[in-house]
Amino acid sequence: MTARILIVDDQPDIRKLIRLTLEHLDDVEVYEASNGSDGWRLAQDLRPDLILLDVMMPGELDGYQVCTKVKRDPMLGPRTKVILLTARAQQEDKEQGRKADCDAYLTKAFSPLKLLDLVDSMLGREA
Amino acid sequence: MSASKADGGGSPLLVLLDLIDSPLLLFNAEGRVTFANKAAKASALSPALSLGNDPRVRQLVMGIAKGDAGSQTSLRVDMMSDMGSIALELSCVSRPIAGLVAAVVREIVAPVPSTGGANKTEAIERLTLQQIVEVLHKELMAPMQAVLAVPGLPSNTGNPVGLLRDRLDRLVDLVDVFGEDVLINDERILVVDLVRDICQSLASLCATLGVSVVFKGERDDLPPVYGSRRLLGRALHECIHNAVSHSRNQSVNKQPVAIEIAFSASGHRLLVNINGMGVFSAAMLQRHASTLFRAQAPPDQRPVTSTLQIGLPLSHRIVQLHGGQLRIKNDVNEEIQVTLELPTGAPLRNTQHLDLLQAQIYAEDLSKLMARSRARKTA
Repeated sequence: MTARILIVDDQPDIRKLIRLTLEHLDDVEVYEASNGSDGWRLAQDLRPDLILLDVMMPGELDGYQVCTKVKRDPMLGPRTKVILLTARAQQEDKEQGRKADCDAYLTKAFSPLKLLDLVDSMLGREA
Repeated sequence: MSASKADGGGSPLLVLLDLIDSPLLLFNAEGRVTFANKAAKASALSPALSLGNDPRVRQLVMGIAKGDAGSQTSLRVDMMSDMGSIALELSCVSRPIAGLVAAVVREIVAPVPSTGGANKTEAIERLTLQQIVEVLHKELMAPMQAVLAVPGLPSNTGNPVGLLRDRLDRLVDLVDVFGEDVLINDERILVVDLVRDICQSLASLCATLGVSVVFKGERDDLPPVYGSRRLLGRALHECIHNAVSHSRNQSVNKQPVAIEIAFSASGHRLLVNINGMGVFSAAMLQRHASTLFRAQAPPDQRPVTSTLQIGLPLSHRIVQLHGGQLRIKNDVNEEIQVTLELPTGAPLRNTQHLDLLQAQIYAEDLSKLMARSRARKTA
């Protein structure tokens, strides 16, 4: 079954890198958004299985806020997994991610192999 | 009496005062500015605000109004501004006219070397040693004397240790943001929460001056700002403190007054507007009951007055370091309006190192990725 993955990051290079990495997975459709507001709208339209979400983004919503909205949405929350991507890995940030109910936390710069393993795990697939 | 009346109401005297090229202020018998002519309003130094808040000016004007000022009718007030070290010379008439004291203001700009396109706020970086000593003297002398209990001090020093600590904290922040290598980190800042904390810290000042704070637009989902919580808190503190102090200047009686702090998001920007609302009637109180921030003043604390001479360039610099803008509009009739425009996200982050590291890790893992793909396809 094809899984829908949404990448939300304001840096085009990071989106491209993640897309290239995810091409190594079978049966995935990858979508992109460049800010939190567009990401939230796209998430409501697409109902993705997984969202890879940057934390620090310009605009009206940052990653924590999008994550909170997704997880509180009755249509998305129960089925959509969220991986937060951040350059900050301090305890305070992880606590913030926990409050937003994220499913996993990936610190930039990340290993693409680790990303694939994490995505497989979130989608309930064997690595 | 007001400038708006001069424009619209047709008071010939005020119209005439508006035609004078030099900044001119009218003070009432209590030493408060009641009129500023067009030249004063147009001045970047906002003499109505800076001189109207100076206790020495108030004392001089009150003396002239009572007819016991002696021979002194002028006063020089030194201050720091965006343009560097500046003095305003206030020359008052020797006796009041119709209960008002008129004063002409002359701006004396210190010869600070300037570079053509340099930003105005950078001027403070080029202070001479003597000017730095003057700033330190102005900021620290009174609170230090208060701590040491030197006789003959004014009685409004409140908590002297707290005042000295506040001044020292401010100077530390000043040094931090005008230093060689300013480091703005990327703490996640919820500005509404930060402003609430600041209002709480100003509770005793608000309570004593009878100033309420009304919040507007403080939604939970307002975008956060990334930067230094401490420094941004300093800039907001300076602006709110100034608004609270100034709002009381507008009301000649003891009626409660209010300032409004409004939050809004616009594209990639978060806007914080701090506006004086003037006298706050019972009806307005009822209307704003749900958004009124009532700070509880600790009973053992008295308000402390604060000089704002270094507060303005300090706030400008901090907001600028966060990629934002600070705009101040002051009109003696329309209250003070401060707008902080802060970018959301982290526009000033330096990702060069991170990008390089990411590329390196990707290159290292590429062969393993290819192998993994091949293995999947053959399986």
